[in-house]
Amino acid sequence: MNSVHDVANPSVLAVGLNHFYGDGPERMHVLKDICFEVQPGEFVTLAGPSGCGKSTLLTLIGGLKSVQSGSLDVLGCSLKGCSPSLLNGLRTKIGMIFQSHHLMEFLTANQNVQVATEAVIDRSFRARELRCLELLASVGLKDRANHYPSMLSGGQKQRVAFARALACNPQLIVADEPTAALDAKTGRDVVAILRSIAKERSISIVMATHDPRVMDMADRVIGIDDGRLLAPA
Amino acid sequence: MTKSAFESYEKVYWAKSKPIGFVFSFCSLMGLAVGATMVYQLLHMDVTFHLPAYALLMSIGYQRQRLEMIVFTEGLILSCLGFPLAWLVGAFLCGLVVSYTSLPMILSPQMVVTTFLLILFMCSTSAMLAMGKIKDADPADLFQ
Repeated sequence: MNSVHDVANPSVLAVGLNHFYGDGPERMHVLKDICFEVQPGEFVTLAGPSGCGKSTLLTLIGGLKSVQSGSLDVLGCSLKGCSPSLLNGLRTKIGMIFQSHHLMEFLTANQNVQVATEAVIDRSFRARELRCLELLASVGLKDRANHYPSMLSGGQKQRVAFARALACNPQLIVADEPTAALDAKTGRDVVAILRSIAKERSISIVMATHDPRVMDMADRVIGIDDGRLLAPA
Repeated sequence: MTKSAFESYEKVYWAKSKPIGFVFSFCSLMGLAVGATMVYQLLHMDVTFHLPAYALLMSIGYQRQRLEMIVFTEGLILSCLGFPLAWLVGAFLCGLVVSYTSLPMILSPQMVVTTFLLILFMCSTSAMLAMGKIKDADPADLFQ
């Protein structure tokens, strides 16, 4: 465990969290009585098969869906009944990484990272550009800053997505199967980069994966199956 | 009757009492409606094509109003880019009609400004309608 953990103020605290899709007889109970917490600077992996509720849990933590039942506090903000503007503000403190990189093909790597800084960082264009170059350098892509996504490999694109997630100085990173489209070595390499940057800056990471090649890199692995958290082995 | 009064009388006569006046006004309105529909279709398709990008921007904290302003700005840019070309084509056609029919058709500065304002109105209305499509951008869909 990381020494910077602040047990009194966890980054994520879920108590009795439930989530449903649909209505009436077709209503599906996708998250069942979820209770867990993630400490500041901690790297937690949510591991489980496809369709077990990992992505739904991440969308709730990321403030992208409203909490229906139970309580969920993220970065000190209770998401139950939270207003859209508060959720929007919260999202500027969370870096999100998706299975697909979702880079904008018409922007260079540097511009793709800058897009994330425009929403939150009140600095001049030049200052933001320099910060984005620093971030690209931190993921080993300084020399690719002016390349378009079509000129980058899969691993490089995912690293640009990591730099974009870090651009808003997040306190929490939510990652959904970021290694799914990468080969074993590249997958481990990009997660190692993310892990070292997060540890350096005390950023919590919640990463959903069913990739056993990267699970051992987390501080803690939380199993999830059929919408329920599994007891630690 | 003064010359200006006679001119006014003639204009009203041709615009209101003769079928050509009705046809001309109707065609102008049709042009505006067709233009608005085309701009709406264009912006709607553009927003639909870029929905994942809008969803991504929402996921990193962009407010919906800011994204709507992007679409609105696109509409204004379209009107500003399209107008000079439309003006040139209009002036050319006007000259062609004058040379063939000797009708005293003049594209006055007042008409040009009015047309520009109508185009601005047309494009901004279409953009405001196309903005509604942004609500379909759901950042939760990126977690798939």
